[in-house]
Amino acid sequence: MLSLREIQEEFARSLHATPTALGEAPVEVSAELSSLLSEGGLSAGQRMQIYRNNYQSSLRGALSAVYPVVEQLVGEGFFAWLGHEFLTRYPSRSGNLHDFGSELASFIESFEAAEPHPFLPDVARLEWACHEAFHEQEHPPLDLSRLAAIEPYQHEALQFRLHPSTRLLKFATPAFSIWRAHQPDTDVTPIDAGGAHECAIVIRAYADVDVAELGFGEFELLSALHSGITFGGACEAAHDVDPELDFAACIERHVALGTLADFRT
Amino acid sequence: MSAHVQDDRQAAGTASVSAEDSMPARAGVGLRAEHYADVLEQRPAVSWLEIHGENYFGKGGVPLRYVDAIAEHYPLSIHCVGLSLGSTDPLREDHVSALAALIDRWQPRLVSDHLCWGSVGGRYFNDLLPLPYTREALAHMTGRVNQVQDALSRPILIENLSSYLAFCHDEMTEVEFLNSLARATGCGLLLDVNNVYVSACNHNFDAKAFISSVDAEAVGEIHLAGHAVNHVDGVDIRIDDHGSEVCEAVWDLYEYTIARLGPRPTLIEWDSNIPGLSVLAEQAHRAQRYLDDRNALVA
Repeated sequence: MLSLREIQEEFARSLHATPTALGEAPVEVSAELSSLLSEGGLSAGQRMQIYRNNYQSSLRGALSAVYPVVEQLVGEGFFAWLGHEFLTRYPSRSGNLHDFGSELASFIESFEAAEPHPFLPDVARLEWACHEAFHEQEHPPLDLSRLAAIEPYQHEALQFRLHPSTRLLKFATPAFSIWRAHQPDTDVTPIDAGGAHECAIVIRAYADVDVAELGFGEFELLSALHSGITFGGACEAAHDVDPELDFAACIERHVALGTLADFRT
Repeated sequence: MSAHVQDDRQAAGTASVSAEDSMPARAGVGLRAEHYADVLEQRPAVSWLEIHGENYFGKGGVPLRYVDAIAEHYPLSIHCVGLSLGSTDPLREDHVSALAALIDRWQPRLVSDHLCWGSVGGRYFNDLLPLPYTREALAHMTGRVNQVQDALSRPILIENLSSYLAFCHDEMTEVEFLNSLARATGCGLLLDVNNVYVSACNHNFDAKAFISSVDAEAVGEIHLAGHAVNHVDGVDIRIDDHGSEVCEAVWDLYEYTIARLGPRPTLIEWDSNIPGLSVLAEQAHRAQRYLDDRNALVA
């Protein structure tokens, strides 16, 4: 007689068995587990298949919800296959479905069939950043009157704190443009998929997640601030990347976006 | 929460939900993200709302903001799907403490999860998987429910399952298992009438016999939902997909249930192919009519 532990392990093995072609191989149920399952109408394998379908479709559904642009880019069929292969290698590790799928970008990098889409891991990274930002903690907005009271000579020494939902992303592909072209409210414009590198910010300082392109200097400035470098030091680092960078415009933009959440002198 | 449950917890020296905080024995609906704005703007005439706890485990953002606002207007219940109570893995304390934080934030009238397991060896299936109804499994569930109730300092409700397979080495029925669990832990029972019907059809047992046998005092909440019927090799199998209206057979069983148990807080659940809020509210109004009829009969 199997113990409760052994029943659960055998059950899990049946759910996890990986068919060679999606959904085609029947579920294998070990003789020991099978002998414990009631007969009647359906076989043990058919009954276990119901559980496998439920489990796989809910986890693939969770991936679709987090990665809608990846799915649009590769098509529903390919995405189902990708999701299935991903699940066999990166099973869910949490009772909270929202935790599932963080490794999809790195999985795609190792997924040979995705090679014709070199931008796909970056788009996945961007979508996971949106998912994280959506659930990230709140922070009150920057106190502008406090900032205005700082004497100009102290500006260089300011240390800014970025909003906790801020995600700064640097892509070796035009992932941001591709992502934007696949938003529901955007006219799809042709993208040169072999085109330039891009940077983006994902943030949810207000109700909705904002995604915006960043210049390279701007990315450098925010990255330096995020790592705790003073405003003066961050400006120097950004200037090295982009001598033309308009710092005042940058600050204005990231006060409006809510990126700059707090500071200390 | 029934008096029976409170008495047990008080006897055991555990804090319980006070009577003025109890959930009214009226009809409510499951709150889904699709309806956040409508609930706030329309304030549908339903008596309470139930949320899925795990959808609010994030640190912030829109889901928490909406429920903060909605909790000002409706009593809440927190229903969990991921505690994996029946799993032989250690209880995930991070999951329990995330739930505790929500309880602290919203002071729900009811907190519940299922008679099931959903993970083993650290792998989660994010599904409600059936347990064998053995003494070994009962002892295991008893320990786990006690552990969660102690961590939360309150009783929880345990829900019966829709299942698609059964174990032939069962030593008791599901309802006997639930009654014993309630007796041993002081937990309440969440009686899902649709699940009773689905499992009764799938496993060929008498749904009314299940309802007749359940420990009435322990039942603190009722669920109603729709289900699908799949045909596999000429065999009908009912799948609990919460994707349609409550079927007539389940309404009949609900009427039978409250005739026997008396009125209980009753929830309409709808989780796939989610319709407009008014459709859910209409289903809740129908449940409320059964509750009102039952109250009129007693008065």
